Amino acid sequence: MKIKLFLLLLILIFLSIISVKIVDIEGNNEVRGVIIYNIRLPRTLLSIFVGGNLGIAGAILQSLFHNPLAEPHIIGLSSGALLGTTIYFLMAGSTWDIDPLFTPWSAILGSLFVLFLLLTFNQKFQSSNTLILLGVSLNSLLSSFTSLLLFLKQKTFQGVYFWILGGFNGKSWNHFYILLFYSLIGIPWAFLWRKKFNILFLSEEEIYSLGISLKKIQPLIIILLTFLIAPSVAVSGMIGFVGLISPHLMRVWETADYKWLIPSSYLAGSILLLSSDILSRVLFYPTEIPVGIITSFLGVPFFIYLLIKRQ
Amino acid sequence: MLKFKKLSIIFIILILASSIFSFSSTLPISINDDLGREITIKEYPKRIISLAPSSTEILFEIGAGDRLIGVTDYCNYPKEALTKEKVGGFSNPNIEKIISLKPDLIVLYKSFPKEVFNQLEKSLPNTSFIVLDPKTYEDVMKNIILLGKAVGKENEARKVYNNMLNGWLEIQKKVTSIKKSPKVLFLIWNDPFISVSPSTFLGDLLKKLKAKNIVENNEPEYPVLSLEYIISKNPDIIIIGEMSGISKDFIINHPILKNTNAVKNNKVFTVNDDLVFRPGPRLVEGFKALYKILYEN
Amino acid sequence: MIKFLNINAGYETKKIVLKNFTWETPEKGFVGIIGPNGAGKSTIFRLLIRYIAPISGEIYLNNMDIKKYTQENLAKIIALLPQKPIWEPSLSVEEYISLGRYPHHPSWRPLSKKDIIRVNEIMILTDTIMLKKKKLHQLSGGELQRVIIARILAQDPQIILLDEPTNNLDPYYQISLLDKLRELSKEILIIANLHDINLASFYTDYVLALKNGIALSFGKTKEVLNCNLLNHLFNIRYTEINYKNKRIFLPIHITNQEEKS
Repeated sequence: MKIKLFLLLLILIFLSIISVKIVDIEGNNEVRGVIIYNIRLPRTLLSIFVGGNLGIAGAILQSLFHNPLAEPHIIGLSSGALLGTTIYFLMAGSTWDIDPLFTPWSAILGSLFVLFLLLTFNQKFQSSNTLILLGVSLNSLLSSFTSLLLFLKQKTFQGVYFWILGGFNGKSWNHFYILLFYSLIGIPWAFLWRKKFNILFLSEEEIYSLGISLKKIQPLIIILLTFLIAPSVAVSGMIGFVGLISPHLMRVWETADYKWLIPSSYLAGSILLLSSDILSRVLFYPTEIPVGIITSFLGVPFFIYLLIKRQ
Repeated sequence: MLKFKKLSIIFIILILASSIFSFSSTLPISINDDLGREITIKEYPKRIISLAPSSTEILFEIGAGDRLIGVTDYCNYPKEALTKEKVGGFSNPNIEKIISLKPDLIVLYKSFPKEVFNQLEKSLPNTSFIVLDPKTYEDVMKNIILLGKAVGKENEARKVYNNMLNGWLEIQKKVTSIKKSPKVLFLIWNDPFISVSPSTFLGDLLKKLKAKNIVENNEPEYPVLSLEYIISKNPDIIIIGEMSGISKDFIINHPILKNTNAVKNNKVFTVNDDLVFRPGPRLVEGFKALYKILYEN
Repeated sequence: MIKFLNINAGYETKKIVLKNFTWETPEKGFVGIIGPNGAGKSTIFRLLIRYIAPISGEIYLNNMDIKKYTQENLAKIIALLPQKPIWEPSLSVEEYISLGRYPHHPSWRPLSKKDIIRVNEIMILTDTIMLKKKKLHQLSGGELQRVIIARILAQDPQIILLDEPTNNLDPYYQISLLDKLRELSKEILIIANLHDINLASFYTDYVLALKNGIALSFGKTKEVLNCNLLNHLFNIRYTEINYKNKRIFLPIHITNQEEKS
């Protein structure tokens, strides 16, 4: 099963990088080389890692909150990232004065602020039910605050707008290195804990009864989620839907057991996002459509098809 | 008689000589763009990409249109621009396309996404980049000279410059005799009502025309106005941007707006957005059109 | 075997639920806890799995302070079936029951051969082996009950806690569950909160009567469970009927203060 997914991923990587259909590249091999190395390769790798990280984060959140609608952006880390970026853009004055290499860090700082709030509140309310309410409220509050700032300072809006929609246009190797660093921590960690997420899906008393102290593990899970979500949002903006749908696709395809679900949600997320990125470049060439729009167009029909087939 | 002929021949030769000199200032030249970046032109560029409709218009107007090999999806003037290769929008251009066209000059504005610019600079080390950032009518005029110098069309650029200058001087003269500033509301959207602040080009034009924009704050640039505000300011003239899709009838029949001076005196007009928002050579036409609307209707 | 010593425990929103609660359980057998709502029955269970901590007092499990156990080691000994279990509907029966092996094999690696064999044994024992590959949402009420019990058993616990296990079951499943528990109680300790006095009377070896956070009485069911106790517990006058060695308690009416003796 996983082999099928791997092969699919490899094919997509190939398409993303080499397919000449994507651009009618005239000119010599040097030009093609520049394009492939400077532009397509980092984009491809970014799509894979962002899609994968968001897929795993979605799977974890669905377990932690016993809720199939949970997805990475609901706990507020993403709106923290957005607010961090907005404040940075505001302080910089104009889009030109922004150092694109610092932008991801401003986003991560924003997320860290939210992480701090979540951990502090988590101390007081140790149940996962309160955590989800907290996350949703923070999300709302921070998004509104960001909207307010953008409304008052419209010049900043332009710069932030495309960041909000999410996408990989103009992203470089530097963005990838940042993401890679955090992924090397987050992905193995999520993998090592995959059996725990099965247990976390049960009721709170059952969780303790099976040998996991929820109050001890919950802050650690919040930190793990930050490693997965914050850098992804920091380098690519808010890409919705991938984190929600990837685990569901894999649940329907095979099973809800997290031993399978963690690695497969990663692959599913990568494949979904990479395909969306390829389409976003090809469909209305040379204009590029924000990738977040394509992900639902791709993901939903396939999901419905799977649901019907499994009946 | 002979002396006169001799003199005139010498005179003609002198004129020709000086025009030849002004045609080709010696290369290489060094110019500074609006961000203070120094660009060295060793050879006049033959493959130019323009990443905004206004720079496209300028390049065509100064006679360099044939050297344009790439424009944005939004470059719609002059007609020839529509036949040029498209490289995407101006906030999300297609980097690969731009690179594959191998331009030697790219013209863009400060509002361009920095990340994309950095990528382009890295991938095209032999290409010159000119970044423009005009804020007023005069800045636009300076942009035209700058581009003229960069592509070796300085004379043509000067002609366009003069045209804009004359237009301005002409209107300035007419405007000095205006004693009472009409209150103006410029609408770019109607649901909600959105206008323009004095810190936009349009705001600058209105200021130069001695019109009183009912929007007073510089920020936000495109403020949402409440009906109460509009009524309390009671504009004498309402101008609608054609691209807003608002019809004159909508304003005239609006239950609240029909109480303004503008509607009561039948002073509701439309104007082509491109003429008053684009920092290009047609700004002078927009200027004249606005003057007509304000004072000659 | 569990020892409670002077336990005071409660929740932030309510007042103290267990007051100076002291109790020692037997090594094995079937213990039924009876008492009105809010008496502290669920609280006892939550203290045992360390879901909450006592305000004061000590709890000893097999003669060691319960605080000294790691959560995993605790789970190897005690298994709890709560009132409202939650499960993931698209999990298969086999996967769900295997969750019970977690305390014995918590690492990231998939289950060992030993664990898989044990899970199969449990499935045979609980008559769920034919449901192995089915998804949880495809099961009937009775099948689900057997599967959940199987998961508890897969933990190989020495002590099983059941919080009102018969609440939503029809009589057939109530009886089959209690029969099974009675079998198990020959080897391990089973403690169950029961609302139905008669089920307690028929099945339990010991009864703990809990009211207002205090242990009113504890002992062998035969000796301790009588109308007097029930009157004190519930303010209801019962009458006892004996039939074929079974003691049946019928509620007659609510008592007022003077009638209490």
